[in-house]
Amino acid sequence: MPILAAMSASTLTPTPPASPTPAPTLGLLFILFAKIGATSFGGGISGWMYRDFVDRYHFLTEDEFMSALTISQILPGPNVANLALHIGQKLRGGLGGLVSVMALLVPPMILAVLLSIVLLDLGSIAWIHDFLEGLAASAMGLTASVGIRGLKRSYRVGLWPLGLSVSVFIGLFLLKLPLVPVILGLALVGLVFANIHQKRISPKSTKPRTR
Amino acid sequence: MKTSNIYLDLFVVFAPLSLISVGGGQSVVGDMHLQAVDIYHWLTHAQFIDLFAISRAAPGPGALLATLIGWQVSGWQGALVASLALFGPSTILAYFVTRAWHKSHDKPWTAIVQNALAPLASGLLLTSAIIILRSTSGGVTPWLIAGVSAGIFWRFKTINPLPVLCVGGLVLVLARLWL
Repeated sequence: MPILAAMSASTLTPTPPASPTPAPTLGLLFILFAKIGATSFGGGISGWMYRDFVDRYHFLTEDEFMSALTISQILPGPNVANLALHIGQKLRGGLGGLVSVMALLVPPMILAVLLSIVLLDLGSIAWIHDFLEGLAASAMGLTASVGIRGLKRSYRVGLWPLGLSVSVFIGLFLLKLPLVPVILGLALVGLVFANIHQKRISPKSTKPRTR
Repeated sequence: MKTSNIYLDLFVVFAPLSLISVGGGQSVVGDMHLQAVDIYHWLTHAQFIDLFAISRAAPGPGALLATLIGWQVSGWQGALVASLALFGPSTILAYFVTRAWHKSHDKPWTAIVQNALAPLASGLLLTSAIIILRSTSGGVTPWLIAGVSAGIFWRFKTINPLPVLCVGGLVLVLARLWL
């Protein structure tokens, strides 16, 4: 009977929430990033990374991924390379970062050159252009789905994160302001709100800094 | 212009762009055009537009445009030099910033920073999707494809994106044929 009880208890226990699982090996990092690099036609790479590293393997939490993405965007350079570096470095240190960036970049470099050899000859064929554009549109759907998921998650924290997301859109798209000042400015606003939020949910630990 | 130090030229053009480009690399496409077409005469305007379209459609980051320009200028070595110049400096900088970030990972304030930064990522992702969709050549079909795809990716979290993207491509081909 105790065995049965234990069994039913274990089957009833929901799978633990998406907490980071043990770090992947360098080989798995390489395979994951190389696959993303070689198959992410039409862009939307951060969406691909999100699916693999957050949804499929749970190597990162949603918040870790999203804040890494924001940092990658603020830093100069191609932001998906920065994001791959960030993830690889987090999971496997400096070498992991290097492996991740190389795996993300080298396969598509070769493919892009080969593709350009073929397409520059076939470029006048209209349907190829249409196909690639449809592919890119679909990839933007992938990007948007990650963004919407982030909005939904933010909403659980409160209304202010939603306001921040909307402000990014207003600043960059409607007002056409430069990215770095907009993001840095809104990050400061976000820090103020996040600090208040943190104090509210854990009133005892009002000293965020121990040093 | 095509002297023996063509690789140096490529490096001098792309390495500063690596550290200037912020926010997805799209911001430096204009400058790449200026350098490659107007200053160095590596490419014609039409060639540049073709390479730009290919870099967007090909897998991998759009910044591979630099690889393609390097390849056009002087083959595989050119591609390698241009790529290293564009991705190298920014990656080295990002390495040190990321290392500092991870060192402070378990400090209490990282939760606060993550709460502050995560909503910005949502805004950035949605904004970039809309900007790129708006740059497609007219019509409501790309927007519909993006909307339906977003619904599919929302509903099926771990579906392989590639087949979905290919269907998206086919739908646009058929739509343009029949409409």
